[in-house]
Amino acid sequence: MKLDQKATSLFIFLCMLFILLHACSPTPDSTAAKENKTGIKDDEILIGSSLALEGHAGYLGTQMLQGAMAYIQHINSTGGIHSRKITLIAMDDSYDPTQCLYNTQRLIMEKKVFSLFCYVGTPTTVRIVPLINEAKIPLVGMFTGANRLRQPVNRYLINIRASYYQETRAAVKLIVNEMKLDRVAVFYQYDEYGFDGLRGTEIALKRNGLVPVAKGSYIRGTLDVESGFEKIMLSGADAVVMIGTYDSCAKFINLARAKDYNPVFHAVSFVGSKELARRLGDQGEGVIVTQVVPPPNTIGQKEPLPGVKEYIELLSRYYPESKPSFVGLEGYLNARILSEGLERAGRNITREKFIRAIETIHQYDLGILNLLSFGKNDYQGLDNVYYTMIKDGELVLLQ
Amino acid sequence: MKYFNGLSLKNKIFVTCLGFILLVSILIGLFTRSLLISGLTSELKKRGTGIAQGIADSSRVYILTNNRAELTALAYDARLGNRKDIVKYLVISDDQGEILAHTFTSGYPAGIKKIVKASRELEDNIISIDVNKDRIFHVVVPVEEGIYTIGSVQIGLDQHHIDKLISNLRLLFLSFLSTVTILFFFLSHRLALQITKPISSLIRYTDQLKKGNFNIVSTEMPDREALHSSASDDEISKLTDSFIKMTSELKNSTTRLTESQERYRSLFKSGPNPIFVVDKKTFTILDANPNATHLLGYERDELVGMDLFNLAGIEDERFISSYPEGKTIVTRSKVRFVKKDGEVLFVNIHASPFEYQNEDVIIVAATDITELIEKDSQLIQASKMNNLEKMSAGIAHEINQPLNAIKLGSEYLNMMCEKKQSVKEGDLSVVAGEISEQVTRASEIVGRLKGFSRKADFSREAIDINACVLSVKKIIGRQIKLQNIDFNLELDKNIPEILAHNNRMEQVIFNLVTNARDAINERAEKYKDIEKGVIKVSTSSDDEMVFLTLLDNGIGIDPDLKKRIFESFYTTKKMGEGLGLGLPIIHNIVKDYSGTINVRSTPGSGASFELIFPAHHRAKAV
Repeated sequence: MKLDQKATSLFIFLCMLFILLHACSPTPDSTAAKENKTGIKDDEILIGSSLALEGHAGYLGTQMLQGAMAYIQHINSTGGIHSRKITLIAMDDSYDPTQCLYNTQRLIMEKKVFSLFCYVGTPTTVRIVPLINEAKIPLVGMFTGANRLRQPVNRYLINIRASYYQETRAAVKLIVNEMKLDRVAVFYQYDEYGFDGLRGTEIALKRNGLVPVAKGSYIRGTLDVESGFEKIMLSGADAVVMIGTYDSCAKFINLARAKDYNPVFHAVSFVGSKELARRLGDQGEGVIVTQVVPPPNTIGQKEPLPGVKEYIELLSRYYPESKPSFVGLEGYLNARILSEGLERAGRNITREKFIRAIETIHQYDLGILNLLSFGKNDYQGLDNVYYTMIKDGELVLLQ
Repeated sequence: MKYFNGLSLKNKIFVTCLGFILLVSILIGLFTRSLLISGLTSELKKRGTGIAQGIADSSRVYILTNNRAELTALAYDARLGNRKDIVKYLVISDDQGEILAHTFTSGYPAGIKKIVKASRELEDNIISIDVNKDRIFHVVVPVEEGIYTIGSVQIGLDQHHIDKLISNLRLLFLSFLSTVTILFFFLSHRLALQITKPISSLIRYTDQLKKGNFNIVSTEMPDREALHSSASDDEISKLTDSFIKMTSELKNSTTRLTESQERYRSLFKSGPNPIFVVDKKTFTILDANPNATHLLGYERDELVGMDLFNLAGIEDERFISSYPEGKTIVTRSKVRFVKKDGEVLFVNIHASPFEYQNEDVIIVAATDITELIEKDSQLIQASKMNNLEKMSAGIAHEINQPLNAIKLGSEYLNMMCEKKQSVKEGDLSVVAGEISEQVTRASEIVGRLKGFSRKADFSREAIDINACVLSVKKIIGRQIKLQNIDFNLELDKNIPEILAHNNRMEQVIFNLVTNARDAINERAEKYKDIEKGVIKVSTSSDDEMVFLTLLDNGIGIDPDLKKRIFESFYTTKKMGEGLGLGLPIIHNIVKDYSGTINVRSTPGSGASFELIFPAHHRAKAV
């Protein structure tokens, strides 16, 4: 008995020794997020943005910047946030990831901005993610629904618009559940954006026990859609989910119309629906486009949504020559969330406090029939999408 | 070490096993660590240089075109994926050391610009520096166009990465070690138990055995079979087996021992003879049986602790010396024992060395022969009286002679009185003197007779054997002369004394002399021989022995009868002349005084009896 007691005590001693040894081994430095106040001045908050202001995507950046600036100027004119005015430093990257990276480094290093804001495009934004993680700087609002910016959850990447996954799921829901079509094909751009949409569609179809009947693709920046079109037409799909840009999608639809092949065409928001409608003209009738923001016009509606209405008003006030657009509305909504976050973070703001303030935005009504919610581990604001259909060259909201 | 020695065998095995494993693990750990650090460091430098060279090749065109955006992108490419862990930073500079692109996102670390600028002058392209308290290998790779340098790619390799890797490995190793140790803990614990459990059981059983509990084998070891089957054929089970066998053997022998002890104890207790247990060295009585106490009249408690020599008339020296080492049984006969009330007992003693309660002892058994001795002396007395009877005529004649002389003297005086004659002065004194002399002579004879016929007790004293011879001569010397036999003495005055008794020795000599006289008379009668009879008694001695020889020229002893002469009731004389007890009694007496008798004889011409006694040296006895 005495022997056993001795042995047991020895055992316990050894166990403790090992626990101690383990405890002694250095733990990875948890460099606690320092309270970073970079970009916060007494009367100014510096916000940086790198986006395409020129080049083929220049339209997107310009529109978005105007939408955002409309609201920022409105805020600044009403005294700013906690008596600080928001200064937005925008740099053109022409949709070039390399330039975007360089811009972003300069914004952080040289301009010393508090936060990044309103980036446009999947490849550009994905390129700067390492910088964001390293600098621990928040990025609010990206004109992309890429899953890579949402999974895994990154608290510095504050997404406002719905993801491509959510858009394609909505598309599949409309096609399969509402229209009762089960022969679905996917037409996608052969890049990060296209893959994202393809995966989202496939996941959504799989939930319904379906697989795409055909997949066609094209290379970004080209209009070589023919081979993809052939595959899809041959499959006799009843619906085509299109993850591409307006030019290639327009060509695809035109080809189909020419061959008298008329499945349901369903594009996602990134397509640039207005331009698509313009390019298709008559041929665009009936093409469905999912939108992450409601249409920025009053067509088909008696009264515009309150959020849309305010955007139109502010845009006409600060940019009278600009016309309201989906992208502009998105920029405007991004600015509203940025302002809300800055407001909630208080006068003694830091980057950490700002992110925590964003997390507190819950069931927030932007006046677009789509409540916005963030939370801890939830940096995806809007979850619902809008269905629009081209009617007479205009995009009409489907109820 | 002192603590270790204090541990039980089980814990010793256990601690040794565990300690060994720990030691080996720690050694392996240290060895691996040193190997890892050097290996990883060189690997890190190689990889870093490789990355930097790749970047340098790609960056040449952008340096020439001063395309900072592309250079920045290139710089960040160097940190893609898990290369981020190794590459802390990357700087691309022009030939002046001005930074064109870099991967710092939160400001330049202190001193980095200086280092970049100074890098052109560096001899070694790898230096170790501290950046923001991190240890960094700063690797410089030049970008060349033709033979001239147009810039450089400088890469910062995180040494902490190695530490992290090592700490991860250490964690892994420690976990492994813990597992192994815990495993070994149980294993060695198990092993130690397996070895020591039977041993501790054996110890327990041995303790039980020590207390005399022999039943454990049957009662407390029911798992013997199980033990045996589980431990199969190893040394432990063999030990167990041997132990069990030994125990049962021990049990049996102990039982036998107990039985025999009980048997002997009952013998000891109920035996008819007194038995003493005596210490071998001090001769103190350790134990005595009830018979001894009964016989001697002492209580057992009184006897225990007494000196044996106080009790018994044994000459201690001789008793001790008679068995120096030997295991032989020593016997002594007719030893005097004194009872508590002073009465004397005679016993025969048997002594043998023995081991009793782990001590060397002597077992002394005594046989009470007092009654026998009594009978013996009665017999001796009877024989003596017989002799006297035969001599009574001679003795009467002996006494008559003085009586006659006294009568003659007294009658003369009487006659002189009746005649009213005065006695002459000279005559009177002659007569008176003669009468007195004759009275003295008669009373001497009577006295001697009285002394001879006295019943002697059995005791030993130092005596001069010559005195005995002379005394006998005085009693019967005259008678023998009357029968025309010469009685010659040849006594050595310087012989030592012997241990005997006067009266007894006189009886012996008396008997021998009368036998000789009878033998001479028989010869004279038989052969009508006119040769004068001679009896010659001589004494002599050497260092150890005293000799008494009696020679006669009688009829002698037939060789066939020589052996029988000492047998009781054997006689050559006619019925009524002798009892046949003379020589046997002599023989017994001589034996009592540790003497021997040698007989030589030539039939028809005489016989000689030689008595030999051990000399008693007084000086030695002290």
